[in-house]
Amino acid sequence: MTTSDLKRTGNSSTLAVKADSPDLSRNLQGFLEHIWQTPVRLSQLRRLTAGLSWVTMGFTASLEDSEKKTKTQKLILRIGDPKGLYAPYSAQPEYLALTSLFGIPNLSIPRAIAHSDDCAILGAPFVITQYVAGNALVPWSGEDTGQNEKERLTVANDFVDALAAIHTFDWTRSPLAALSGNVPPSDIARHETRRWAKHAGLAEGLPLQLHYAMRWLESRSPVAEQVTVVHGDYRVGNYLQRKGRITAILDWELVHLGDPHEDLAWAGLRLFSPGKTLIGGLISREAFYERYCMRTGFSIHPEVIRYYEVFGMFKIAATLVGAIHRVESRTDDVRMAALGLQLAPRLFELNRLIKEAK
Amino acid sequence: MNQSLVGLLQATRRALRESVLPELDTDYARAQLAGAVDVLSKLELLVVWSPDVLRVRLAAIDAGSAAIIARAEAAGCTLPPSAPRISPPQNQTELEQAVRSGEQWLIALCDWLFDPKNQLPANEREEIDTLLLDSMHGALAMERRLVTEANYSSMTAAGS
Repeated sequence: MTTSDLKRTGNSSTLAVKADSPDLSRNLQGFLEHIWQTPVRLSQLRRLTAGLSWVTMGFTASLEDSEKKTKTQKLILRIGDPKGLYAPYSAQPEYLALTSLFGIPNLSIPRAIAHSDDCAILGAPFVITQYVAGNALVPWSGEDTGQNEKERLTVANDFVDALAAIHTFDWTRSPLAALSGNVPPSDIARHETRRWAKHAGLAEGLPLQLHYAMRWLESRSPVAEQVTVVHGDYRVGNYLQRKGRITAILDWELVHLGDPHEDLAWAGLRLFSPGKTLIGGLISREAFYERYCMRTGFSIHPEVIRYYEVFGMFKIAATLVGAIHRVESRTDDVRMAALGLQLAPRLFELNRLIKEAK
Repeated sequence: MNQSLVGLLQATRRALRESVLPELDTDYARAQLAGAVDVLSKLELLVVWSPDVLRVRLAAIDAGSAAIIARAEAAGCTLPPSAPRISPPQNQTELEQAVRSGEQWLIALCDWLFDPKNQLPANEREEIDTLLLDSMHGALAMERRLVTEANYSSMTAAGS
């Protein structure tokens, strides 16, 4: 079956991202049969979360192996919802990250099966990965993690060690080098600032505090001592855990190459651990940095952390402005309106962080 | 208050009509939803952003701008020109315009302040920067107090 045959199997150009859509199931089956070159039967296709960005669905694929035995796999389908928070999407960065980083010590991630940016197949870019067991915490609820102290410590260590593994990975010799863009270390922070300013609609004008923050970030951009893989959304809530161990680091859609301080600052934002002094409710800042430095051999510069804390809040505020634009362009996801109403508190926090960083 | 209030109400009506209504099983629920959609459609024509919040925002902008202008004059600096304004605003439209215009001037001030070619002495620069940050802080404070944290977990969790 060729890609053009796949395009003829259904009206995928208007495919709704719904688990019960017969088009979705049929086209997904066709795609898997195409890449595996064997008949495939799908079952239990269901939406797992109602996330604001990518849509995550679980399903089971049954196929015959070379010895005619039926093999069943539990898989995850992630679709870049055209109406999602960071649309338009590409599945490639996440796929490159998962395939390049899979198997490195101290980093548990799902195994990537396939991906495509061809919207004619499922209606949007998508990635298929193995299913990994575990549960995710919701960071902004301030809920008790429900873990005992021993489990908290082992999860905390896994959290640090996984980040250290990501940052010490030699991306230059991997497919992730495709994300490079040849941005020099002196320009990395400025490049990322512009990226998020554009997401917020720089050409149309930014809200006052956001505009100020953009100028502030551009004027103080640090030179990246190391250019590493940066997860882009590394925090409590974006990993699965089970019996006191992290089973998978998730949500790689914002992966890019940059300054590792960006991930460190992001993980420590107070927004992700309301009412708690521990990072993500897991580990103290001191213990986090100490273990990270030991694992990586890197130095952490407090002034660069403060810079990237401002950057992190800038990114969040830019995301919310993007949500407002989606409301203005008549999205039918009213949660974008709810997000947009959070802009003033985030801008207020951005103001505070800038004053603190001064 | 950085978005259209009418747009918010329309988005809510759209979500109720297009995403919730098809999922309802009972006549009673459908009737309630029809009532809610109707209320929202009427509100679209009647509501505006709180003038009290806008006045607080404008006062912070005006106070900050005045302090910055005074400081710059004392230092002998030439600031970006400010747009003429009807003072004080007489109605909601003028109030919203005044806030927009005040913020536009502060945005121009940001660009001037961060311009590497700006010859402003470090001390004066730091003082004007602090006045600008304080002005923005004051403009955001009331809205910050009024807007409670969103319940993201209820908006993203999987169903039982």
